[in-house]
Amino acid sequence: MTNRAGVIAERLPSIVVAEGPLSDLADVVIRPRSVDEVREVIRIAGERSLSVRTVGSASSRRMPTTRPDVVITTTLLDSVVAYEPDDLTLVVGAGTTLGTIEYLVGGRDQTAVLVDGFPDRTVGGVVSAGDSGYRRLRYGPTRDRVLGVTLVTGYGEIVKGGGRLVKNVTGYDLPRLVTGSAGSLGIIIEVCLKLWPDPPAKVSVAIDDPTFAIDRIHRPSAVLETETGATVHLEGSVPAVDELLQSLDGTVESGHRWPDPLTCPFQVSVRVAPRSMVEAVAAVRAAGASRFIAQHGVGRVDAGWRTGAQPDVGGLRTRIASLGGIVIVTAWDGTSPPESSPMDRGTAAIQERLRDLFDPLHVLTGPNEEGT
Amino acid sequence: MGTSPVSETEGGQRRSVTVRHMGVIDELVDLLGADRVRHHPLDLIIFAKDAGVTSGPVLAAVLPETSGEVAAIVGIARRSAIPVVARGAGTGLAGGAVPAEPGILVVMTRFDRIRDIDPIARTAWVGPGVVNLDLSRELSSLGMHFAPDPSSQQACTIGGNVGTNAGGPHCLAEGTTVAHVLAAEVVTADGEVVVVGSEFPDRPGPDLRAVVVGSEGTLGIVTDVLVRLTDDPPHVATMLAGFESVDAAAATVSGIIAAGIIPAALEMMDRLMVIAVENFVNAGYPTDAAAVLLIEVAGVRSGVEADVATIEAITERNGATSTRVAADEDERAALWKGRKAAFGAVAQVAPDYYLHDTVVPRTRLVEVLGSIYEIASRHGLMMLNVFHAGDGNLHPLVAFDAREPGMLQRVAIAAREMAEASIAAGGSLSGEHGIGLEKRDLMGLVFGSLDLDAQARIREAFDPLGLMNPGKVLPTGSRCFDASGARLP
Repeated sequence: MTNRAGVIAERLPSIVVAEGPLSDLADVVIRPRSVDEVREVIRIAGERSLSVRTVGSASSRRMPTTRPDVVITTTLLDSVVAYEPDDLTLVVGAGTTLGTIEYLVGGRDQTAVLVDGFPDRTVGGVVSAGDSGYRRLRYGPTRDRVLGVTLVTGYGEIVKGGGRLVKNVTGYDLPRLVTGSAGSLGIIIEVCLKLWPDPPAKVSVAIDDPTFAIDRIHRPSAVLETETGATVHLEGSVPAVDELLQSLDGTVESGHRWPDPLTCPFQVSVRVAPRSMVEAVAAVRAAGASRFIAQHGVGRVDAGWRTGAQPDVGGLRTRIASLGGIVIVTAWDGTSPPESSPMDRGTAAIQERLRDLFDPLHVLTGPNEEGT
Repeated sequence: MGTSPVSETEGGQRRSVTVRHMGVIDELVDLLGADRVRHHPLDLIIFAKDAGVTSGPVLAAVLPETSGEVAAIVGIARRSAIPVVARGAGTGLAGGAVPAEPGILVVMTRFDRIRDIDPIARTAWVGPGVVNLDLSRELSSLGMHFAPDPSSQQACTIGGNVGTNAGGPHCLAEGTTVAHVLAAEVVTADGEVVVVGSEFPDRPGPDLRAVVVGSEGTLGIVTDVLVRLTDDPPHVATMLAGFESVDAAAATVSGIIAAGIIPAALEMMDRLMVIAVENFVNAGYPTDAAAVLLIEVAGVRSGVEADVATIEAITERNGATSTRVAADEDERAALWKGRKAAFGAVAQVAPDYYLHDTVVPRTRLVEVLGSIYEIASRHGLMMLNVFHAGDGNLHPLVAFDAREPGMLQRVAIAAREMAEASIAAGGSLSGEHGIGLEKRDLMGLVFGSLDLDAQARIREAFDPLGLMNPGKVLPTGSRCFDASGARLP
């Protein structure tokens, strides 16, 4: 090996990934089997000034924006550490896939309410990205379900926060802090999730006016709008869903289904205050999106463009900024992404100190990276 | 219980500290006017403690009205190296708003404005001085409320709720305050006015909002809060069930959750507490039961009715001696009055009380309650229990007379043992009251030195100088590594 990261391959040869789609991501790709191996990689990277990025199964297609020296994939950190159905808690390794989790807890009519439609994504990747499922309108975002977390920090120590408890205010909320931090504070090794009973009845109903649905229907699980129309998603006990249905004039689709996931070569995520959703949807339509999924009541529109139909991101960004929102490019052609909306500047000093304290040698993020 | 800060210092130190403090008070008076800077010895005694058992030295209590004034106060404090401590209504139980060292108490009660209520997004900007129940009353005509409902909700403020990440009975289904705060304007230790969180969802980067909530004023002073509002349910049923044993009540709690029902609230009271409450408010609680459950389910009518039928079958299966469903709003209010008046009712039993707050996995409730009864009995203490059974949040309440020699020490030892019993069962120190001064030195029971060091790093990122409510949440010496990762001596 001639590359700078070769030292890791020499010291930890058994966990190096030599082949496969991930092996092109960096000079060395590591698939650790234990938290101690992750810590060892981070410590070597600190000594040798190597940059390290983490991916789960890489199925979200969100790759590091600059080529790192080392990529860690967490897919072998996939053990089910503890499942307590009566406590509604589940402790799993970061590499556990959403499909595995839902299969396991589904056996007890429970759900982790994570991201819908991506069974191959890892829970560590979802928590790190801060992604949530459509049912967040009713159950809250993913970060409200991360009860505990184990990290390997940028300074190479194993740190735990939170606990295996559905209610807990003991110390600073490290689990929520790292949810959505894109690995900038540490590599997520293990999470404790709060589960919910999965209701027996679920339906989706086509509606005309999503704003009316948000205003008038009692706690729908989601109110979605796509390029083909709007749907309200209801769930609960059978009598409860029946009663909600009677209050609607909409058309019940056969059972329940979510929109097909977006898989366009170019995608953005628009985030606005929920009151501005109608305008945000109009802006995405005007920008010529091939597909979009808008979450009314939440304030998020994810949109995609077909090959060759890349939008005027600058124009969209300006329009969304006038609504007080932001645009983030989540999939793109080529090597570097078009500029997303600027990051939060007000708390820049705090964020910079936080990053320096958790990643003093800039192993996890470069000195000028936003960590997103 | 409070003591004058000046009399606490001694000898040569006393003079220098006093002179420095006098200069600060002059600066504060210049900024706010004399009527908003309180430092009369009586004021200092009043502001020296919260609703718990700790007290601390207050240099002056100030009453700012704008975030600019708060920033200027922080500037004065920084230049003088004097701590600032934020305070709401002072109903906290863990000493979060009690200075650990002589400091400026920033009383936020004048930030009492509610603005920009958005009935579609279900949000509003709320000043930290707004009283919790006043917010929900203000919203009632819109069919919405603020979900966290601590027992002190008639007095406690939204700022205090944010500081402690407060809970309440209805947090079982809805989560504690952090799930109901989307953003907050914060005056940082740098003297800047910043916003953590956002009106839009999923701001990229570390969730600073989530650590500010529950930080007890150690990461900054919150001057405005964007709260998430919750729709009033179209239909509510409140049930009361009596049991011959605490075990049977706890088995009912597990049975309800196992049936796939997360009630809006699921509260337990033991016999002593039921008697105290019944004497006090005549709510119709069964005083012959060893334990009662107060159960509330909410939603659309037919769903609620189905849940009530399921729960009735579960209470029967567990040998309930009585089960009743409140027939109307008056009866429902009476049942809740019994629950909410519980702590006041203890005044009949003894002049003082210590209200504990630990949390355990729901499946370990019976075992930990057994340990807690044993601990109280071993120390010869009278203990009553009223708690959030649905989420395993225990509130052993020790009633005592502080005038009895050695009593406070006995209570403190028993409280520590109860915390240890909870933690041994996989639990933790606090479910909703916070750590403050009271439990700071017990943090090592839950977290290792590396975990506490990481928490100290979070604090350092916000407050490198240690100006904001120092001596709270984390024990001294939590920061055990320097910035390069080398272990400090």
